[in-house]
Amino acid sequence: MKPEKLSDAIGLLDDKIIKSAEESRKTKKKNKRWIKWVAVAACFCLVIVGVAGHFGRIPPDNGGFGTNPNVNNNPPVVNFLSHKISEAKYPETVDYPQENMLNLNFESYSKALDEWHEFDEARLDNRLDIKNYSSFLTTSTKSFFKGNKDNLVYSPVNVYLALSMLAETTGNNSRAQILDLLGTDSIEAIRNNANKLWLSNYMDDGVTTNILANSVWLNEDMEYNKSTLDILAEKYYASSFKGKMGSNGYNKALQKWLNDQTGGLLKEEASQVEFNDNTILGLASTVYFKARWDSEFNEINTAPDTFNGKNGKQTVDFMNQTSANDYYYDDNYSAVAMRFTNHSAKMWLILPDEDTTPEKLIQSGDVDPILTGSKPKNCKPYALINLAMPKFDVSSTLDLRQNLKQLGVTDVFDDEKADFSPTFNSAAYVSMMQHSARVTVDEEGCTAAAFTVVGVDGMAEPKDIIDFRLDRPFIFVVTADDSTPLFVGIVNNVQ
Amino acid sequence: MEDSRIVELYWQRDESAISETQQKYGNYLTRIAYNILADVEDSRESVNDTYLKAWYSMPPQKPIALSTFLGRITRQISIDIYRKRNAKKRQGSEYALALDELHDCASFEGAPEKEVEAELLAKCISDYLMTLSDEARNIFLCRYYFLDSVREIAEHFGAGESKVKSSLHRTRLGLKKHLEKEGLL
Repeated sequence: MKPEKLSDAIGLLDDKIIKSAEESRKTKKKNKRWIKWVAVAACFCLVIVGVAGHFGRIPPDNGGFGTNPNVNNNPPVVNFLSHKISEAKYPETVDYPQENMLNLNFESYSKALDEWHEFDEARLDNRLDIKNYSSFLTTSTKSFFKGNKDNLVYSPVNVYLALSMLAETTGNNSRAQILDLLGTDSIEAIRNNANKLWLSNYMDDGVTTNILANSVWLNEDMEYNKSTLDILAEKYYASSFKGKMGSNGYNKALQKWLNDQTGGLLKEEASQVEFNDNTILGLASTVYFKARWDSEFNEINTAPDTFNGKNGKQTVDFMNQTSANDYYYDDNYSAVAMRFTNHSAKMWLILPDEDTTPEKLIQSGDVDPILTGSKPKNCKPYALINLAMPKFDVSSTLDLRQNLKQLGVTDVFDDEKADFSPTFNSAAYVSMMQHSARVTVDEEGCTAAAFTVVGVDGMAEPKDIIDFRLDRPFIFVVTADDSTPLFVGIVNNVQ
Repeated sequence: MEDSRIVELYWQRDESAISETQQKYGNYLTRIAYNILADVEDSRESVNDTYLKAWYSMPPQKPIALSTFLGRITRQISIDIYRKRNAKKRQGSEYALALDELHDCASFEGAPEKEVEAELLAKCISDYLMTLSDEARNIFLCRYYFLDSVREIAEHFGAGESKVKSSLHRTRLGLKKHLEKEGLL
């Protein structure tokens, strides 16, 4: 018998046996040279509503930051449960099937995979057309990045949801100004948009985590309008808590909730937020996103190199990778979108041309297409890209009050004009609105047994070879499966 | 896009079926073709022919595992192209090397050629492979079905190249014994 005949017979083996081998080709098993790179990002937006009136309130400029002398010094035991009055019920998710299932039973693996796909598609059926809030995306980004000198991270979807909840709790002109900034004139539209955003983003399948969490913090001495709270619970998946404002225990519960929802990524920032005894209401929103990169970086290619940061030259670790990808460019920048495993979520890496800066690019609107779900003007499809990217970990905290005032949301911050009539019957105003965010590009457990590399690099036949070196200040945009911009950031300095 | 949706497009005679296939499986198929042909132009031709053949075979076919269905077509077309080449051009591809290795489990040279139906032979090989560990079986198939290089296989299985080579060697000898026992050699 000739080898050709054997080879032909091997070509006739049935699907089941071939499929199993096919799957094994997608994985790279435990092998010290390979590192599983992940991007982890988290943020929170905390709105604190305080009693209005001059007597006994914290002045707006100190809006709730710092230690309140009135807090009693209880031991820091966090009795989380005693404050929780209702917990949001999240929809069920379907786990992405484990590869080792395949070897056990092909049918059950493909059934599990089909179920996951079905779930994933159903989730994206909720996709909110980005046109509904694109004006908010671009104007808020420009405003928050204006005059920025350092690293800055902003989560548009997080602030959008926080403002939506704030709109729900306010009335009349206070609400109208917020709706105007969010690009609509009806609270029903906002409610519907927020609900869709939540549902189309929510993903927790064992490979990718993307959770938008909301919570409402109530003062135990106050009466609230139940119907407003019900809407927050139902449409915004908000959990609610009740406790003594300004007490150590209640503050710890808030901090613990923020830490839990952000994977401990913002511990320092969370430890500094607290309510005081003038607080009537707290609204908290968080986003936690974690995903693996589709194409991996090889550890042996990681080497120190120079990053020409805004504060001068820095020697930092650069990850290097050569892969086939679409290369985008426009008049003032070039960009590459790095995909995450199993999904269409991406991290856009945007490198300004040498004669401009990230800040200028954002202000000029050059980055608007990426923020609003489309793509830069020009594309070289399937180019071979030599990517050099510094390992980075950037975070920032913004006090949003000033910027929002400039964007026309003034009444809620004004102790004489703010209107919270849909929620309670007291004069109150927003005394603090803080947005903290952090994005890290990190490695996860080199010891992990196996990981899937979807779309193993084929024999790419590139039209061009392009060096894409992020060795000077750059912009990144993390977009979700439905193109929602989850995080926008500027890396001016790596360290 | 989900496989079933792509298959539906074929059934609806919607030409976007091809671009969706290309987007999802272009790399995967090109790689199989290249392993056999070691030539960019020929590989591209093979993959294009695969799309064409897929277009004319769905309907009536309704594959469940589209990747496997397409990969099989590409493998066959690429081997056909390979066979039309002259001897000189055949050298250097992973397919050429794999055929060399398969001499281990073929008959001695000069032995009378037995007439064996390919289907029967496949069934016999399949029976044997199912007695192996998942790893040994998959390594064998990566090498002789997908024509992956030993180096690539080592990466996929987190093993050294020598371990892959010895696993392949053992499997080939075992297969030969099995074929002899079944009276096919």
